[in-house]
Amino acid sequence: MASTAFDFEVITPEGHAFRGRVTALRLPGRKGNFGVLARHAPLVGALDAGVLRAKGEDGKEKAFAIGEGFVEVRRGGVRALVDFCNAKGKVDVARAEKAMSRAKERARSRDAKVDHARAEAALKRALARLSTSRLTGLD
Amino acid sequence: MAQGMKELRRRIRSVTSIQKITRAMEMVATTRLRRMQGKAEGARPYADAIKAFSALLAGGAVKLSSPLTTARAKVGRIAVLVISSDRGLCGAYNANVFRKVSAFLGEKKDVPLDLYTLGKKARTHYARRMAIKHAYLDEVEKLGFRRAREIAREMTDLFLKGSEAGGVDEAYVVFTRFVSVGKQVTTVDRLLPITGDAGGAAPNAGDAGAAKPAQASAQILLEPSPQELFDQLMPKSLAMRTFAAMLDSMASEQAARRMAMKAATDAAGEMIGTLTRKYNRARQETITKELLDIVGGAEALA
Repeated sequence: MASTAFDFEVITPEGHAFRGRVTALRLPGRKGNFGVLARHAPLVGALDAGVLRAKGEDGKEKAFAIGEGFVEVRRGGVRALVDFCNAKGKVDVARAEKAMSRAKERARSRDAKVDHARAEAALKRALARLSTSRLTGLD
Repeated sequence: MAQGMKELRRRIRSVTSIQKITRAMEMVATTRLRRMQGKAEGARPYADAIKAFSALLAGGAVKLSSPLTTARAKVGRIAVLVISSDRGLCGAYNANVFRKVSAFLGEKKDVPLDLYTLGKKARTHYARRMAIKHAYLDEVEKLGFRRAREIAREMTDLFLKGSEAGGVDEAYVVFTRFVSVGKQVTTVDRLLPITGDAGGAAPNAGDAGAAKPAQASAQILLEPSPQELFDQLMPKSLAMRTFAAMLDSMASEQAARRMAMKAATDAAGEMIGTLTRKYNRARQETITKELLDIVGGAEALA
């Protein structure tokens, strides 16, 4: 059924990371994951760093690691504005692991100079990349 | 005469090789310029979308504000971020930036300021002239959005501290706006506090597109609240403007370099022409003289 597909694009400051037709989305919202299907009510929401899943018209699901940003659901389609977007195969796992352990250390330290909110954000970004790279059964 | 000809030949050869170099640099600058333009082009959809979001939020019923959009009554200290190039041979590109900075400092001479530099040329230029608060050592060409976001955040931290706590009350960036391949404009932009259409904070965003989202926003679900969205949007908008300033500067640098190298190549071509004419005249003179000698010798024998 063609009517269940809708346009979806992911925009980063470096350009379009994804553009195509999809049938279902799973997004890491600020207040938890949520799904978007065709004819979703118009919405503007904040996104956390996390895993984005998009099911294509061919039924195959794609996974992306995304950074913080926003999503806009309109009648015409869905648009995500994020800091970065790595397709599952393009995640730099070694770098993410390094970032992860660094962020963990910072988040744990009691040093007053450490900005915990920032350390936590870095942790989320690293976690987004790592969990995307570890997903199985999709592209 | 033979001595003069040798000298001319040597000079022609050296100018020719310089021309080869400037022509090569011109071509390199052309490709780099294209790449930078591509990058700037790639950043546009994001910047436009951020603006559209700001307009959408600003068009809502509630008037939104955040610490980042609030101007201080008294400005005790300002931060100025200067974006230059790492390399020279780009005409007046850096000189224009420095001149703009001087003019700006002239306007703000009553306010103490912290200077931040990005690019080797600004660093070395100001190292001998005034105190640099911090010089970012990044290679300008390799700056990405990540880095722009970090720098924007450092500026934000300074701003939020305020001048009384060792921070600043306003932050500016001096960069070169890329208008077209033939036109670049050195610009001073206020990064913080965010005002007017720059961040879309003012609800009177006067363009035609702003009216529509204002009506539509009533039916659009906002999650979380508009205020929370706004608080997340403002730093993004700031990071994007910082990034855009960097991209513009990079493209402008290459455009300036291409122009400078093209002028150098043309000048070298002209010089080769003049030298070649001189050389040919000298050669002709020698030949004439030799012929006269031979003719003279033959006549003497006859």
